[in-house]
Amino acid sequence: MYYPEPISKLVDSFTKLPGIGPKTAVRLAFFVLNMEEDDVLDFAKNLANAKRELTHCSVCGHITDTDPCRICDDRERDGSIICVVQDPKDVIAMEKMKDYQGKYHVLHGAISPMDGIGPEDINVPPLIERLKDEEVKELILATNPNVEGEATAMYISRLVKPSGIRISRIAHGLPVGGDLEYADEVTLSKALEGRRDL
Amino acid sequence: MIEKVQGIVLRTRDYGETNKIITLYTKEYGLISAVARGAKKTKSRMAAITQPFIYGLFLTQIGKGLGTIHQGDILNSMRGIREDIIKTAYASYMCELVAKMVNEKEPNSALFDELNISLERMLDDEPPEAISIMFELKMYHIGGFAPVVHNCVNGHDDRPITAFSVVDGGVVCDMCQSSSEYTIPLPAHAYKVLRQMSLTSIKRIRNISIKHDTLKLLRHILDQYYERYGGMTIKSKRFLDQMHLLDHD
Repeated sequence: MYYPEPISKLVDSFTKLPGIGPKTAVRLAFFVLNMEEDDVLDFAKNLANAKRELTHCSVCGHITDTDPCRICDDRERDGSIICVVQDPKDVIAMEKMKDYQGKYHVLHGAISPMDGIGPEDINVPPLIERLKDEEVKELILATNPNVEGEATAMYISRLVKPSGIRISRIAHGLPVGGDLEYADEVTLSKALEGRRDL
Repeated sequence: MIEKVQGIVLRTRDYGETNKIITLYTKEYGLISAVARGAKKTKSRMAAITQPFIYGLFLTQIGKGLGTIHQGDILNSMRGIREDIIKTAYASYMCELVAKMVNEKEPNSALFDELNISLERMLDDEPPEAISIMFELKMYHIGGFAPVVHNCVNGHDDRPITAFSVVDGGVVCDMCQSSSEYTIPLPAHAYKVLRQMSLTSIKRIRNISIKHDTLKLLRHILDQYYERYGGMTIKSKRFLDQMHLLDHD
């Protein structure tokens, strides 16, 4: 290696991150060298803390530093509605919307026939247990509108339907600011199906 | 070289933040892989045309390596398959068989039609399990390890077929069955179905109606047979087995 050992170790660490190749890793490593020492220490501390202090909420599976998470612990939220999402990032996206006041359940993945990922490989059994214990009236299935998301939604719906809980699926259709002319047939047909009275 | 090709989307993989790599089975070039840039974006027109099982016309740059999809038009969205978990499972299985058993850029329009019509038949509510078994048998021919089904694998043409021998690689007569330890009994009606499924194209069959027990037996035979001769792990098979359990719940 042409670099002193501390730099080459730092470069190796950066290359472990997604989307970072060797050249970008070298650029980032040299950027770190030029940073203030306090900032570097803070950066290192934040990395370690994120790994050490974050865990999955024992109720909903969302990433959290307290167990149960702040959303599950919030008594002002409506516990009778659970929104099922694939990923913790989806919870953040929903929370940014500020319109939803129910609770969540994070699956940490989706059923994927192509990859051999079945129902038992994702966080579905705790959801079923949760539905038995809590007084849930509605389950909103907010998985992604692709094959994996649809398969997951269909599977959960088949499992839960006999219990009489209302099951809804988030709508699919035209994006806000989109142009009808450029919409594809599948999206348009879904949008037409999900039309509502004005 | 930008070409307009008819293709069926077999599988998609995420590539970077917003792109997807699409595996297409095309009529003109056989199996190809291409990048669909921006296909993960909500507003991308590529998002819908790059969903699995879609049959469409794709404007694709085809080179030596990974191509690029520039545009696409849907010819059949196969939406009904994606909206039914059982159909999705069987269609995924069929697509994975093609993706794993076919060499890249070796066109086979007969196989393309077989896959396309099989998916269309699933849309028409023909039994997906029967369609997948028919298709699987055709893929065994492509892979070069199809079982012998037209007469006894040991050449006893004048004897009645009574069993399937995985070890011998095909159906066997009553005489061979008694002399072999590892055979699966095959009633006359099940043999007739197996023979027809293996030798007849899906194009020539409509309104498929096969007893559940017969399908179960054929599935068992093919599972044993593939385990011995297939050699490749089919991931979607594991998922199919789990769906099977759900059906009986």
